[in-house]
Amino acid sequence: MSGDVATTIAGPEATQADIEQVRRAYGLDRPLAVQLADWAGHAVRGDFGQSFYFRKDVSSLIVERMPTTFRLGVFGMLVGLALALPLGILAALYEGRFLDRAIQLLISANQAVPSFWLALMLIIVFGVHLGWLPTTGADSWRHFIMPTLVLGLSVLPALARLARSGMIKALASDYVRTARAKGLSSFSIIVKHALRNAAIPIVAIAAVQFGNALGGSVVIESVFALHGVGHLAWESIIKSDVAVIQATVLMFSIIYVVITFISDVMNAMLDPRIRLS
Amino acid sequence: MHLNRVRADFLIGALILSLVAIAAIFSHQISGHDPFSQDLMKRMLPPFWMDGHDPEHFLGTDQLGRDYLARLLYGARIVLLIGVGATLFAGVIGITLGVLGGYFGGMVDSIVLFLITVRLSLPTVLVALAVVGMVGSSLAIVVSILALLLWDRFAVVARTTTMQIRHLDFIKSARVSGCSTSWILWREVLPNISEQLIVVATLEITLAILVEASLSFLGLGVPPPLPSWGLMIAEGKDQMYFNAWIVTLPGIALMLVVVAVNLVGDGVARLSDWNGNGSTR
Repeated sequence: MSGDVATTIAGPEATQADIEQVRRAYGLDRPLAVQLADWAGHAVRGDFGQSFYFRKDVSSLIVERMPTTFRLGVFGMLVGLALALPLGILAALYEGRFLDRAIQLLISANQAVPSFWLALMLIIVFGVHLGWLPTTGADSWRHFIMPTLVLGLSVLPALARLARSGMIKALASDYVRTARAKGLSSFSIIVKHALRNAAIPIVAIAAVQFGNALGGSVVIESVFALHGVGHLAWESIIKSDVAVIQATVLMFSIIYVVITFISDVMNAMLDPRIRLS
Repeated sequence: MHLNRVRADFLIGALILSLVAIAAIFSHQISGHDPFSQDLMKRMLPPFWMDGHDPEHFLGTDQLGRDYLARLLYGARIVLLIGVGATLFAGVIGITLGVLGGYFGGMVDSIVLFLITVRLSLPTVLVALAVVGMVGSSLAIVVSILALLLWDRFAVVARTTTMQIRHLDFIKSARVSGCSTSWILWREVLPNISEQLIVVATLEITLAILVEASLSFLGLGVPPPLPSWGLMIAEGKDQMYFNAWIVTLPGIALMLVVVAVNLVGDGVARLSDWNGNGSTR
């Protein structure tokens, strides 16, 4: 792998003259600033150029790969929330007792494990020893079980911690005491009163985590050979396919900005104290 | 949380970290082998708990016949170097920006906030991979890239804590008694926000370790033959269907170090009643 784009495109057997020709053909002999301005000018119009490795339009490549990544991200997030909220709430209800302690230990251990390693362990157990699940590819929903679980577990710690601390704060508040005094059932108190107030920071963090999860799909998609945008990014980095690298980084950044904005709006809707000015 | 238990957590974490540090420093002496010397006659020997193990190689050997224990212990050096090195660099960048923004406010603060926002919108692993792919990989490059990508939390925390104390009396009196701005920042502001920054540092160490492992696993981190644990997992991936231990051990080692750093960080946070997320736990 070489840092020089023209050398990579020309291939291993190219002569110096070939490389120079490629450099001129792709406009790589121009100053960097000019190349960047040219790229940005086209990018705002949705034209990210050609991938020299895939021999395709970069934008159509990304559009083609996007559904896999998005599906992985959305379901991973749902799995993460579905596990994190009950764990966080349980820990808060049993604050300081054994169950709380056990849940916190589980969360810490989970946080300490790199997701690719967790993925490999799942593959060894469920794919090889038990033979329950397919290990690579994206042909059916069963191919998505392990990748979504790994992604869900990677976003779980932050969500569960926040759910726990938010619930502890909410359960100690006056409005929960009032609700108790009114004789409401525990379920109604926890879900309708406490959780609703604890949800605000969770929504904010969940949005950030969703952005991170999409960006982190590079790792998980590579392990499970899912052909999403993350895998595309990794392939293009290995092949020095600059047009694709630029487009994927830009796309993930834009998604992050959009998601953060949406989470701000959702927060304003959940909490009337936050007003959009 | 009970104070004794907090202290116990902290001590367990510190103990594990000291053991890892000792293992890292004396890796040759403990394993009795060189982590780089290959012996193709002794490839893929199993570890001590399996049949047919070689008493000379406690944890067996890898696909090139290198002693696995030696590589695992040597890997601790890399993990500690990456974790501490990247965090120190990131700390210098983030704390400088955060303290300046928080202390001066106004225009300076707007620039700092803009830089933080830009940094946050960049996908960490992807950008790190792309940069390593472009400039090539070495230990120094990986440390610098991680530092350039992981300074944001330092900046955010340094900025808010500086803002909280900049109007307090001891800062005012320092200013009135004629102290220079640099004296105030170094001697008054920095010592008073250091506790929070130490907690952030422990978070960043674990983050740097985990991101490095991902980069090395994808082949764009620490270059071989250096035994980074992430790289060892990648190299053992082809063998994992037959010899699961070859990918299991480095992962457990990673988990142990990260848990230990987290325990120390939690200990500091709880003892000073503060933690990096600003939440109580």
